[in-house]
Amino acid sequence: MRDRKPRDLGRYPSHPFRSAPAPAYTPAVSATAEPAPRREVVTGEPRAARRLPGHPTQWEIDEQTTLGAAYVRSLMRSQLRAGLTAFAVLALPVVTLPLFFEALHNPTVVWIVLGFGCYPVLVLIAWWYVRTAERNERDFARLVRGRAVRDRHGAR
Amino acid sequence: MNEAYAIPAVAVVVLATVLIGGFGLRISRTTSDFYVASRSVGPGLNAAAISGEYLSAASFLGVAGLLLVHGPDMLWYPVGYTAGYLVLLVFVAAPLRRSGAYTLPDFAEGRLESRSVRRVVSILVVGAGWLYLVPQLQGAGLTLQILTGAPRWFGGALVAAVVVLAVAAGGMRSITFVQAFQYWLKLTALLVPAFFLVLAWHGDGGAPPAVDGMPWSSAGSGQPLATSRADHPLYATYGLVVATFLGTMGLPHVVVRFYTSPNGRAARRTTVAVLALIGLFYLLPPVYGWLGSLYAPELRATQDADAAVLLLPGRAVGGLGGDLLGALVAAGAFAAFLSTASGLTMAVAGVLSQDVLPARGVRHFRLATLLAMTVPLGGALLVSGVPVADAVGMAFAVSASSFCPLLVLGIWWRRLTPPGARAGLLLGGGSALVAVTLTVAGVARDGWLHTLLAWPAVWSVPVGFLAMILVSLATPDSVPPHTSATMTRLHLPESLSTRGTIPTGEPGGRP
Repeated sequence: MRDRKPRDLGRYPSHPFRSAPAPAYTPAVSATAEPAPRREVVTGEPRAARRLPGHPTQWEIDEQTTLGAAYVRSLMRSQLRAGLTAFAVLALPVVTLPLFFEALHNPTVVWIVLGFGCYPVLVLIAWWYVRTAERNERDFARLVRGRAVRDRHGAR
Repeated sequence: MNEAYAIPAVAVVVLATVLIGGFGLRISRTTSDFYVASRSVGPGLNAAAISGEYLSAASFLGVAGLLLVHGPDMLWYPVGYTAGYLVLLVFVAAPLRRSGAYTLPDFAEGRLESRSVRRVVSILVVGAGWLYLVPQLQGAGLTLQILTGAPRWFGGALVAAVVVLAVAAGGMRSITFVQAFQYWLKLTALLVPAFFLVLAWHGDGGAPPAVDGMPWSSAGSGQPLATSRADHPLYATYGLVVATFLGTMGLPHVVVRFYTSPNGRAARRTTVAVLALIGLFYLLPPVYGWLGSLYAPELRATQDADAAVLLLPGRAVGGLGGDLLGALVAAGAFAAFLSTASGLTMAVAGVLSQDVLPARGVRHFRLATLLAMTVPLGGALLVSGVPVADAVGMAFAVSASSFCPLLVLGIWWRRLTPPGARAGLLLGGGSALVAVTLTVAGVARDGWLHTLLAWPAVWSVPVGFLAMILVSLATPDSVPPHTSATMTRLHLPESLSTRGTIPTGEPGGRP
């Protein structure tokens, strides 16, 4: 189990990830955690719509346990899958289009496709990706926090 | 083009830049303000600022000129410049913001926990930034000479002075306002004249009158602002596609912008807005390229095809209206130089003040700003033979072969090691740098060797990725000790990684 104190990176006087001021987002994963006794507060069912500072799943992520690492890996995998899908949808036409234009020899088609047609497609792919990525994060938050969040955002 | 209108137009843009920068001075107070605008820039403003910063003179003038000379294949330039943001979005945007670092070297050090990787990245960032700044200053000199007849050095010096003033005064806070303003200025400066140009073309019955003479043949002997064509156009197209698609994410002035978003989710949404804004802008240069082939076909024969955008209002509309529209276009062109140059100066100054100067803080940041601009200004004044666009393409290719592997593997691959990152940065970025330097030096003028050296991204990007992966696999003992915690931080939504306060409006946040 990792040390709960801020990690000593004294060799690097300006270690950026830790020195960057981001007061509202002090990361629990790498900064000071709550004192351990807080854990015994969570003994029963979490009450809906209440902050769960000691909820087991979140605690596992914070403490870098094996199970917590597995949670983060699953989030990374789903985000990477979304990214690779979007990239493939972009790359396939981009790889084939120059060959297609070369064979076609029709400047008008090139003007229309590259000059006007491709930009809405790019924005659509981006929009799809953002929706997917945010949904992945919401699903992950539900997994971590249990019912509290599901009750509030279940309709989405 | 009438100087009587162009000079006031440029003066107004310069004045507005200084004034808006001064406005930022009044609200910039802390170090965080200077570097990342206190991370409080919302998606709308930030997207306009990113777009304003990104659309340089190569986009404003160069794309239309290239289309005029080389035809529709050149449309891959704006498509690549835009699609680069999509690649950035899907692989980099949110984790980069969540890393919490100020600059690219910060990211490298934080992820790999290695000072030496940081140094390599710092050198590459400063080098790429200066490479990109020199052509902006040279292009400014060329444009101001064409517009007003001022000596060539004057435009570069003017841009340098204005940018140093604006950046040193208010840092990132004020630059954000300046660049958001300049995006809308650039869009207006192309959109309004384009509207009247198409009307004029319609009034001419689709057949413009014959153009007399070549009044611009002696105005500038400059190179086109974007790159010329190769002997092997298909390979060159792929080289261009790889460099622009993958290079955008590593350009120092683009990367630093993402740290100004309040959180990873906002960084993603910002990128979508950027895609829309840049796509909207790039609808216009093809109109100018196409009208240029009707109204200014003689520019094809000269080296001044970049002047097409500046020249068309006078040609197609004429009279007082043409002069006024021409002045508007001139103002937009100058805004293009100013915004890109200030973004680059900002990024280079950030790295210099953190890694070179002895202490952080506002005063050192201002000193770094001066240093960041002095070197490229000297380069622009001393070296006149370097083609503008080759240097821009060089920055994209170097970025795609060094920073792109670092960011993508650093964010998604746990087994990346400091030796692997160093090897990939040096082999990928280094080989791209050498290749384009050889091209500029004129080692190979034609044939396959020239094509391979002038468009290196097709081979140098795989070299960078392979070196990084293979060396990392060979040094498994060097995996940074806190990799797991760092990865968690990069990918975990802010709403979960906070214990106490959660920003309002976050989905998944609590009341």
